[in-house]
Amino acid sequence: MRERRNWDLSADAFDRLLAFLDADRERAAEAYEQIRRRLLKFFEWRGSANPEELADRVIDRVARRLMQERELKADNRYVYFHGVALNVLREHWREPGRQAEPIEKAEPVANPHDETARWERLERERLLTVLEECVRKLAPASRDLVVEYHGAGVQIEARKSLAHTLGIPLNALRIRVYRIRAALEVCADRAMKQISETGIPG
Amino acid sequence: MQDKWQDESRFHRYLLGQLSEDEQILVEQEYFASDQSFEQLLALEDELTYRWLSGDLAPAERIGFERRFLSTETGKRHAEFARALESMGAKRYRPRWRPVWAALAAAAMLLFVSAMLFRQNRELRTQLAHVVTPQPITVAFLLTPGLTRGTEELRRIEVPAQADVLRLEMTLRRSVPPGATFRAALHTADGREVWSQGGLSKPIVEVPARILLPDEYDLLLQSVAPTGTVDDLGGYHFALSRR
Repeated sequence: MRERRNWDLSADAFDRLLAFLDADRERAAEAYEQIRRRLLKFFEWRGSANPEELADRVIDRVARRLMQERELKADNRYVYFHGVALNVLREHWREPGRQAEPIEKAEPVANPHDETARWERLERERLLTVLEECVRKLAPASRDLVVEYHGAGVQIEARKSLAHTLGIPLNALRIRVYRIRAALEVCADRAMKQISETGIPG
Repeated sequence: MQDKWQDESRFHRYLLGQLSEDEQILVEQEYFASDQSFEQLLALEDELTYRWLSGDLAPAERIGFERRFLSTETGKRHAEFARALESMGAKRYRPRWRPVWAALAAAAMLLFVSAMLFRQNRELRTQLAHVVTPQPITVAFLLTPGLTRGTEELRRIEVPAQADVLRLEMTLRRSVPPGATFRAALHTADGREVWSQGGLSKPIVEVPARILLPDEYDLLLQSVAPTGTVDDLGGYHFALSRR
């Protein structure tokens, strides 16, 4: 059975959900965003094709329980959401027509080097243009780090050597580069969206 | 506590779908509870994408990666972005090695040009001292939906007198259709619209502070789907004061 969607949540239920997350409303809103982000990745990493819908179901369900039971016992509220998410995932797999979805049974996608699987040329060129602009906007230290990281090659030894040169553990280097690349992706996404909406680069 | 290498190996196998159900659950509990673990997984996932692009994954890893990450729109978009970043050739930005003599010549030239510029600069600075354009001052607030007028709990926003722009970020209570944009309209307590903006890619607005007098406001948010369907996402009620 299809569940009630998240947007049916009443203001009261949403307020109660936020109060469950933190007594301070602003911190609660941040916690809500953090949990939603984790839920999206959870469903994505578990191979679901529609993580947003399933994340909404989890949030709905916790909010409804809070309305019914007033108080939920949870040592860690984030982990509580994970428990609910697991139930939602298992139910989702049992839904008619969903059985083939678990990733173990999914078909591999097209090879990345296959030209037919790529975006249209125009889209790619646009993306390259906006990305170049985004890289240019980076702080010099961040730009240098990304350049060095990519220049070092993907082999683990090369990355270790770069981490050693910088005097930081490999994991810290990886996270630092990830943050820069994530910021670049946000920048490029925003610019691409603006182009598609207005035809004018940002 | 397991050491970092074991953590990394476990996280790596989790991302590729190579753990048992029980092991997966343990990893998930860890990243739901810990920001650090979650970010570590995101970074590992990011790196896997680049290794996949470079053909650096073993066959089993490659299949696991493709099944797990490239079956969603988000994963595909991320891979396209990574491909673009790689193909752009970050090398272009890399500072190239130069022989010592070239560096010395450049330094000498720089010294000469600096001396010339110093004189010009001193004169120009006097002329331009009062023409410098100040950067706009932006103050940001996070708004949550659901509060309505008349409730006891009211979001209070205190805006410094010198602020030029008020940045308001709205938390969404639900998802919007893929590709949807946002429209926001700001109303005073008596229902008068004082400002609005459409075509927003995110539920974030930047309102000129000068148009906002101390008052109660409703910021009404709508999503506009690519099909043109408009959906009310709710109101964000707040009281604004100046200091």
